[in-house]
Amino acid sequence: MNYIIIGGGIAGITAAKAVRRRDAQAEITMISAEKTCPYYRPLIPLLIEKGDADVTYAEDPISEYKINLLQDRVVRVALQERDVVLASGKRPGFDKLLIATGSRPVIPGIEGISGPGIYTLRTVDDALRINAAVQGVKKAAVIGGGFVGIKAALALIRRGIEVIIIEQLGQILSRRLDARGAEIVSEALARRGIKIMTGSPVSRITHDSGRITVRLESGSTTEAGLVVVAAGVRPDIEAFRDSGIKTGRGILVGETLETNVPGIYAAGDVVEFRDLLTGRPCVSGLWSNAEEMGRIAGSNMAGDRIKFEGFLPVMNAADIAGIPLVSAGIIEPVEEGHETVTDDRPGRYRRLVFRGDRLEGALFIGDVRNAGIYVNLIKNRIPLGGLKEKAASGDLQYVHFIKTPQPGRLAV
Amino acid sequence: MSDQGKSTDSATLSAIGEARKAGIETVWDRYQAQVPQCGFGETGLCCRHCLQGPCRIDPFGEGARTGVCGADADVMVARGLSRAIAAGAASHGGHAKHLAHTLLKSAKGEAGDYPLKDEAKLRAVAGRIGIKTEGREAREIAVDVAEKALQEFSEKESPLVWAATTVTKGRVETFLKLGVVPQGIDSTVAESMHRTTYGVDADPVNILLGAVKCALADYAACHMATDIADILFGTPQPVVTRANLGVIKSDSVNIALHGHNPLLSDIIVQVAGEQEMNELAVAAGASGGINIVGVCCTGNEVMMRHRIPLATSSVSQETAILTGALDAMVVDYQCIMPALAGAAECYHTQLITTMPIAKIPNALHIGFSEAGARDCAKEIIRAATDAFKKRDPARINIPGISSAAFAGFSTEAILSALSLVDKDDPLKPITDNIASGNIYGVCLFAGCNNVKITQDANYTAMITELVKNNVLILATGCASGAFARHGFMTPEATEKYAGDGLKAVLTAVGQAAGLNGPLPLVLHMGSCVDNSRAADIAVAIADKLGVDLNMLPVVASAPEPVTEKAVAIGTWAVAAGLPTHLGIVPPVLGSRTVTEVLTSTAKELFGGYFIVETDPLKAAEKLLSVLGERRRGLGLGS
Amino acid sequence: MKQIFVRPDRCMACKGCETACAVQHSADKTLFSAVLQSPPPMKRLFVEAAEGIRMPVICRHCEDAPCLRACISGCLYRDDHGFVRRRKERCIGCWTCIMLCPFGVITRDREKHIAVKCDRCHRLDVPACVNACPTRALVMAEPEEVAADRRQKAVRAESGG
Repeated sequence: MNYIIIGGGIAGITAAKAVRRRDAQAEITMISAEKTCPYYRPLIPLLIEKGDADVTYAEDPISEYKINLLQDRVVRVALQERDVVLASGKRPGFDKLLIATGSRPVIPGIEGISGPGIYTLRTVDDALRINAAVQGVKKAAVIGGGFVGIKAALALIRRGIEVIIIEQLGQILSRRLDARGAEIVSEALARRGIKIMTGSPVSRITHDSGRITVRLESGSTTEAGLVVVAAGVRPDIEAFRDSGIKTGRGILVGETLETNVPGIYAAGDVVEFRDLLTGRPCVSGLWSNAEEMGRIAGSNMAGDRIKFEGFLPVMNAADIAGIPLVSAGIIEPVEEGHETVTDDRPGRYRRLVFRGDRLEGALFIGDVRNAGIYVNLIKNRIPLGGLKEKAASGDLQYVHFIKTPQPGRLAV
Repeated sequence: MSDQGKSTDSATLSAIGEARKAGIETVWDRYQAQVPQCGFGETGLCCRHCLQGPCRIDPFGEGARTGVCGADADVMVARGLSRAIAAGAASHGGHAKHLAHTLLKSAKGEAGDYPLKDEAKLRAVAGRIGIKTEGREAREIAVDVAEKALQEFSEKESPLVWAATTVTKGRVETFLKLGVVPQGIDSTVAESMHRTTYGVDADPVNILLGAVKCALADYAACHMATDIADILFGTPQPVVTRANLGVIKSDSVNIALHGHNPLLSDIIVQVAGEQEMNELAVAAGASGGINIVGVCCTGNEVMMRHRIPLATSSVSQETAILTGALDAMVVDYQCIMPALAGAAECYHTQLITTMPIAKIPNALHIGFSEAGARDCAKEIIRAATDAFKKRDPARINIPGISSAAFAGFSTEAILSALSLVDKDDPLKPITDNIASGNIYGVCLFAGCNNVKITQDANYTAMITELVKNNVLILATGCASGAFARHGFMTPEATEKYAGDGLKAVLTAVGQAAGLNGPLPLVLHMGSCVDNSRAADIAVAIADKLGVDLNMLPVVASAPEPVTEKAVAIGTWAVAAGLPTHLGIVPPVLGSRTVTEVLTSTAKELFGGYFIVETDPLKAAEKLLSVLGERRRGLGLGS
Repeated sequence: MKQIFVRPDRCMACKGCETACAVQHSADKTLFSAVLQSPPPMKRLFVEAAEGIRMPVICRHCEDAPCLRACISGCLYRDDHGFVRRRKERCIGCWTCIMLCPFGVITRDREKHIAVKCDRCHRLDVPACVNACPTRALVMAEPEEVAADRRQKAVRAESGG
């Protein structure tokens, strides 16, 4: 059986492992456009922060799982021929195909947003380019106050560069944090020396012999020697748009992660599938979701029929400027019917969002002890029963699930 | 723990909320950090009495069944309980001895700040303990009383006078028969330590009888402390004051007196009332002058003698500091949480220790001596005034909550009120009404607030049940703090909660005493050493009826106990013949024998026994049924 | 292979297992030096209590371990015995494992800024926690033994024995 996996990110690697575990004879070919492959994508800010870092796997899955790695770019998929057209002209054929191309940075349509000194941060190459460019730079601007932007800013300030984060919304990490949470994290960033400007989009960027000026709609301007655009990501579906594989914002899949074309699957950031809580279609952009999808897609390609229930588009853990945080589910409910409980004390902030008998959102800042108990409740949509009050108090522990009528997946 | 699970008192809850906002740890946080607590400790199955330990016994029988020395569960539990009682007796003994030394100095003219305030009490006590009073100067008598008191601490050839002369004849006979008569307070404590050390007493019942003896020494110490405090500071008479955090005033220099012994606190109250001190406070910017408030049993002492309001008590002691307006917390000894220092550091509050045996790091120590008591009091007030100047007005958050509290019903005060009803036979109104059923029985509430119980919840639930059924309520120590906070120490509470019979009696006495209404629902008898006053009332009733204490429809309850002192008091109440309720399970369940002795065999030996019940409504039910049983025993209707 | 089993009905919450765990993960592995160690050693299991139950909560070394799957830096791995362990030098303190552990048994080492979890005392025949338990609430047993024991108990309960 010939398996082709497009993309060497976590979804692709996990899928390849899952295939191999079930099919020792399988011919597994992984196609990645990246020179470095595979690696731990979340670690790439370290390449900037430390100038050098090992971001590769501790145990190389390519040799361990006998994967043929092809550094090439996919131009399109030919459904009739059941092969993949590569930039090199090669056309490897497949019995089963996995699309795990991940996502690519969003570049907002702003005048002057491309050009020298302006970077994105998605790949090892991106990080190495930024690392090569920091020499002599005194000031950097990061457009976008999401996790990527914040991590880029923290890495740059470690290099002795003055950094400003420009966020067009009213707060950083929107959807991940509520206003109070954003305030706490912003204060921590400020203590590290990072400036944050919120509430005004960038209107224009001008270039003048290496000096970049970022102009905001509010009228203020920031000069920078280096700009990182971190305005979010979108599924990388260019090569599949007119192939006959159904797409929306991402590749559309069913519960087995198979696309409308039998034998062709998709996993990871490239997938558009349902939000576990709202049931609405969405894209994920999260490593742990990609890992789960890769595992399920790979298993199913090799003959299993594991169902994928959906994902939480917000399920992040991080340590920002020394502040641990976990954010999962719905943090700022927009619909009616949610109850919110907050607990704000020095060194610890918690926000829990309930809907009826279920927990739908949890934000832990400063103290993330037992956060997994809460995230598990959200992710597995476990009815709280008599435990709601305990959950709301923030003191829920594993022991509380022993002997409860509906322990869900928490039971021993 | 949700806040609602911490306290039933809204002022306390407000302070807890404030603490959380400010990130200040309180007793409830520290308790949470201890949970789950060790089951070996909870069941009494650990022993650290020798260096071969610590040993633990597996209550499930799979692991160790004895300690290294061979002590089994019964021995281990009995020894542990015995040592707790010894510690309680040592505490009350220390308290009483301190007062006895002062009485001696006062009588010899070496302590000018301590005149003999209540000569009638002095003569009454002297008469009781066999000291000649006729034709003698008060000072001469006082020297004899003090010396006799001090002799009580070391081992004599005869029973403790303060125990033998204050109980019924029947009790003395029972105690002699069982060999539990103490002959020295400190010596009995020492004996308890001796017999429970490595390789001495290994008979659990014998150890427990030794513990009863020690508890009776505790009783003697309590009684002595009450007697001498009355002689030096006056026997309490009813007063009206207020209780709860709202008694702290934002415009005053607030000084809280916390601990147990009135020796220094009484003097501080006296000095604070003087013009010079008031001016000092006003000059510092406190237009209200000096405001003294009480905490715990020192609070009780100054409440009943000087009408000093009670700010808080027991488990919630930190809340006084959390008001942000407490300028000094002055402590003597016992029940003072070391955590007060941490709370005080979060505010401008000056924590002041005063006793050589009770220092706390980071507190200001102003050493107390009888000879310089007034000077010490002045220094304390000056330190409080200095702290007041550092107060941050933005952090003041005094919950505007307090209740009226009628306090100070000493035995003498109760008898004198009763004598207004029947001059020749003051006890008759009580015994008649017990006989008629207007008073179904008497319950003495004593003890503390335990962090494991929602503060005051057991007290309030139990009292409403009991008074509805016409049970007369006496209260001491932090039990009275609980009742005071919730407004139970008022005539209004009598109107609202008392059953018809009880209401009629309390109204008749109240009218006769010129109160223009009933007596308060709870008769406040003082601090925790003043449980001796309640014993006196019971003994008087028993003597009047011609029966022993183990026949009386009188029960005791410590619904939320904490201290080793409470264990000692509970044990002497049992020995005195009173069925005694505990709202917390003591660490004895690891031993079937000890549990049985305490809850059942004790009934055969002493008439009193422990009733352990954590549900307050069930506890009230059990006490009512015990009272009914006792009434039937006396041939009274139940 | 023998596994750790928890018998909550026997737990006295003495926390001897917690102490032993911390000692085992201290520099000298003795109680008295562990209590003096600064920063103090950290325990990897937690005695928890709820109404009517108290028990140590330990790492299951899950077959499908969420912590391991989601580790973004290659720190967590499964060793030859099947235990989920750390390559400490690879942990970047992102706390993703904490977010995904449904037992709450991964914590933060604030000094070293890395995640801390049970290593099943892989150098010892009997883990320190099991060895320390005075009531055998923590036991090592073959899963089959435990299943058989449970069946017997159930039969006895049903037959009123």
